[in-house]
Amino acid sequence: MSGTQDRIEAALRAWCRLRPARLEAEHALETGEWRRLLHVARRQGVAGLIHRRVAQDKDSAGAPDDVRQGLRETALAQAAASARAEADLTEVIDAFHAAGIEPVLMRGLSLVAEIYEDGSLRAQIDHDLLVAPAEREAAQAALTALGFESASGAGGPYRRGAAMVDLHTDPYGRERVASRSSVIRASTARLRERSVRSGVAGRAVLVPCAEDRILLLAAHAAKHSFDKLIRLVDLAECWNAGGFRPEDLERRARLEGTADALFYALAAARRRVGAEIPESFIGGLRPAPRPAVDRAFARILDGLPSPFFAEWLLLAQLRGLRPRVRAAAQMLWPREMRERARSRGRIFLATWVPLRAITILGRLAADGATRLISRPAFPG
Amino acid sequence: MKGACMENGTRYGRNAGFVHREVGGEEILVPVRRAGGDLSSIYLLSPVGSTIWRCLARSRTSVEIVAAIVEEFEVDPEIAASDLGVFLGELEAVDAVRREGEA
Repeated sequence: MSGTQDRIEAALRAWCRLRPARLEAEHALETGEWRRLLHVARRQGVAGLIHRRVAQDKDSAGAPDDVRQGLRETALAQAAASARAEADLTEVIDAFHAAGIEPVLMRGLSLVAEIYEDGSLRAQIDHDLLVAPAEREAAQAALTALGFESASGAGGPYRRGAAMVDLHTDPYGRERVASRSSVIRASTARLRERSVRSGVAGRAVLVPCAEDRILLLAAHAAKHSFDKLIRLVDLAECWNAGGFRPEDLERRARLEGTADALFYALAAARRRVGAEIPESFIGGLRPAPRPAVDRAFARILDGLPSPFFAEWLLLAQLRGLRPRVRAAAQMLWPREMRERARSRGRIFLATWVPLRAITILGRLAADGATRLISRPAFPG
Repeated sequence: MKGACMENGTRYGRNAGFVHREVGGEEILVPVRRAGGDLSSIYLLSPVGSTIWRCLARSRTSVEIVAAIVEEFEVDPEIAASDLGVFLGELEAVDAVRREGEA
């Protein structure tokens, strides 16, 4: 790694936690590196956490004013977005309860309420609400009555202005997908039974229990190929928050088929954000060697982009050629897109297929380029 | 501006569509509902503004708010009343506070 990259990694690792560490003198940032840090912190979703450290003036004597201002603006915007998200969630939860639906709030604001306790520290994107398959239609009707609209006809996210609700009937995706469900055997009903009540946005909302929360965060981070540091910070802070027994966590992960994702996520959290997870626990989860997955993961541990990690992992976990071919086809041509193509016809095909091809080729080219020039870069 | 004609007996209260947050020592007001002002805005509060917003946790007259400012900042009541008039006018302009009748 270059000196600059080393110092930025060290600053991120030290400061992007709820209990930040002191930055070693050898890692003190220069002016240009502060600007790079701001850019990276925003892309990685940790600017709010970095702002808190810099605002306290600890280790930040050399921070230029424009960087301080940039961090401050991001933190203020995140606080505002979080406050608005709370108001939206209150409305949605009230409407669901009125319709007799008891959703489980996964990630998002439940993490702010239970872990961060400050909306400026974590960026919000959407509300992931898990409902029973039988409640799905009623939940969709409740969202529509509140003015939310689904952009895609295939049960995509519901939007109202900046507010977004992702309605799940499966904890590991919006709905059960054949290739994934042959690997992950988690039951929506059992997760709901194990869920606990928590105060979120002024309401007593069901949230996953501590073990499920860690498994969901780990699988989610892996599914996104560890593209943002904040996903690892979430995991590290949930681990620190406790409320579970590691042996129960491991047993459930093995039972539900999420042990591999848990291994990769915990190992990445330990390396990238200094998560205080015993190496012996992580080692006990280590899967058998898989060259393609291991190569992709080594890049993640080094802070390099590895955009196809999730795909490699899923393909490695599937047994037999046919499921792998089917999964690869689903990755290239997802169900949501097939349904859109069916409803919109040739124009959609003529535009979307080339765009999809360009996107995949672009990702491959970026992946290859960073390998060739060995230039550490952050995914985002 | 509406606040320029602030009347001593008028009661003021918060619009529930606004919430208050503290970020790194700064205090902000955030409109959170469509009926609560421009949803893309954030309003920074000065220390006096924060005191006034806290006062407005329940319905208050301007006389009561001026008394709170004078007590906290040890300023002349006339200056406090003048600043309050301007600030309430700004809050009314963005719909953060409402007049709730006479005392």
